Amino acid sequence: MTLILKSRNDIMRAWVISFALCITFFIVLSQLFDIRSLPSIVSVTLLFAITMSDDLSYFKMDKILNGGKEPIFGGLFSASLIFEIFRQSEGFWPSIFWMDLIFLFMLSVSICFVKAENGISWEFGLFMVSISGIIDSILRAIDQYQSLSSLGIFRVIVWGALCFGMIYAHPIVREKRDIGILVGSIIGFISYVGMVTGRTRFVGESFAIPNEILSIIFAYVVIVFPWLIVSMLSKRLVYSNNSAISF
Amino acid sequence: MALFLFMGSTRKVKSLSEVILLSILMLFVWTRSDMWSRSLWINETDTMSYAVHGIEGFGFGYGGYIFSLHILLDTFGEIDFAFKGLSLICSALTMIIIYQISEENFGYGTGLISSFIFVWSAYSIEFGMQVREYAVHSFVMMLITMWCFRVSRGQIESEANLPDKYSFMASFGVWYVSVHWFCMIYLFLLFASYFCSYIACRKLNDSDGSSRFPRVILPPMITMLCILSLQIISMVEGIYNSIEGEHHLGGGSVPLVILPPLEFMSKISSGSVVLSLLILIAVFVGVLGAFNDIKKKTLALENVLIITILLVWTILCISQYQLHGLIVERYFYFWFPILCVFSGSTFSKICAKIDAFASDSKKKIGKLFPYFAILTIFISVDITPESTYYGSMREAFEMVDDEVGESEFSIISRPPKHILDYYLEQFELEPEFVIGAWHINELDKDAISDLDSEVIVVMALQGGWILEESRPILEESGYVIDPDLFQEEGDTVWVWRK
Repeated sequence: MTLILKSRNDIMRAWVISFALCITFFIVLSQLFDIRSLPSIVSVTLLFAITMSDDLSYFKMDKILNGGKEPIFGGLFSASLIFEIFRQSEGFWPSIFWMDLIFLFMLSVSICFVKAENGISWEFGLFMVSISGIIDSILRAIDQYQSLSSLGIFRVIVWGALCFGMIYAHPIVREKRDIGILVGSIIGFISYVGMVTGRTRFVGESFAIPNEILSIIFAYVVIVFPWLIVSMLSKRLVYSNNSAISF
Repeated sequence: MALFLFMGSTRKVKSLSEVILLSILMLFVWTRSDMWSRSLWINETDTMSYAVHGIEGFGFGYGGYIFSLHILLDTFGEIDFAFKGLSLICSALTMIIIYQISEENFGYGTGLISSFIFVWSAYSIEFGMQVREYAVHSFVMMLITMWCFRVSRGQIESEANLPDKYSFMASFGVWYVSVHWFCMIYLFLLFASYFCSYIACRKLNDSDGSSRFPRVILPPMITMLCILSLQIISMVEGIYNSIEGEHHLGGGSVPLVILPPLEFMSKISSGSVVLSLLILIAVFVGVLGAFNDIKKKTLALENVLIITILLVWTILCISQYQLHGLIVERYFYFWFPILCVFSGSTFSKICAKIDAFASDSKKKIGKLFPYFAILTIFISVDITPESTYYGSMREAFEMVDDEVGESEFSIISRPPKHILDYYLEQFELEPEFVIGAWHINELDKDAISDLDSEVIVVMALQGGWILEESRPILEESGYVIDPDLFQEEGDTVWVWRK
């Protein structure tokens, strides 16, 4: 990933524009739709897209791009944090997940910095957080506490797309893709469970994790995880030996 | 079309036309069967109640099939044919996979016979359209089986021997069918067969250990082992309950259902001696083939797989004398499609023998052999399925609808309420109370004595004790039984009025 940092003004401009755009975006979305997790889904998708894209010029937003990626993430996170505090103070839940996610982001980036000498970059941390955010927000969107309460075809499509999306994901951290998805998914599940059971919320009651969501998590774990683990181990053998593998 | 990926173009066209003809024949014959037009029976409406409420239990409680039914129920409502249609479509796809596996593994002409055995069978017609897991799970498992065959023959090789999208889909398939224990047993035996054939070949041919285990097959194997390890305790518990005389899920006593091995065989072969012989020859040839393979320093997957069919058949035959409620002919259905493949392969082997001995001019006769085989099966098989013991639930509810009219009514029934919900919704019937139970000790007699509706409907679906238990209480409450009752194929409905 190429970082283009021109000047302090560029950075500040990028931060302010992203912040303002995100705040507007969340307010509009929450006014338009009754789905409380929608802002989180959209913003996580945005975050994922930014993380995955090598070339930000796709977005054609020069004023932001001149500041680089970091201020955009900063603006997005700050806007989300403020929006979340506001929503939670109004008693809404489960709204967007950024409280726990920001904590997780800081944790994963710290780990990555500690292990920087081993070649683990901050982008890898962001990738993990994006994955956990996607998992977390999608679970929130399709659980029975949202307005999409009936387990219709929409949920199955969303979850199926997520499962298949994971095996086709080609991030910039490609060689560490599998471990990123694995760890990110676990963090996402923990984050969802924490939110529903009330352990990572300021307001609202504690709720049970719905059976169908448990089932979906179970399916994901027994389908995606074995695939990722075998893929990861095989790749390691391929890259390290670069020769025929005997079983 | 993707199924015909590994065929030559001329053969592809012929195969495609054969499959289309078989599909048309199948749809024509199957939809004229009593199993298509009759109402759902209690096990089917039980499945539908899962589609509404889910199954209790961690993780695998909601099976993939339940999700599918839920979507259909959301989309179409309580329409029997929507759910039967799903099973019918899956059975048709199973037939195509049977054709494909046979052609790919046992040679030209085998597919036509194998899939015809499947289409022209009372056994598959009986179970292939039920709103239960049989048809849909068989389809998924046959897809996995076909994939295993292709991997074992080296037709699928992923880049750098890494898991690919097909192994991911196979894992998904394993999860999809995991709710049924017998499906897990099938998959366990399938992967075990694959593993055995690989190990045997490697031991015999590859002493330096340079051959590579196809890693594409590992993810579904791990998925299967994960699920199986979680289910193993409940499986043991189920066997224990069955030995104790209860239903395998517990709750009360069930009769010991015994189907002697010969009757079991007759059921599978739809009463055809020809088909029985064919099945026996197929198994015999398979077992013999396994011994020959070992002599030739190979071990084909199909020869190990056929031994597992024999193993399951024997275990089911023996265990039914000890395990209550184990209805063997139902659970063997998951092995039936692959049995059709092997039965068809017997003909192909006979054809090959004829070709080897016949002169060039007579080789044309060998080409006609598949059609002779089809004709023999066509004549010898009785395709009328045994449908009488499934009851007539829809007709029973039609009678209830007519009898209660606009009156307030309640229902006392065997089975419990969730089994009745499907047809209550379909007929838009809204009883004041529904008091139901599977077993006598579960019946709430106090609730019956508290009933005060104008009309009381007593329903005995597939079991007749409910009237004897409720009669004295209803008489004491001043109700009088209507002499006209509904009675058909094990389902009885009585109407009581004040």
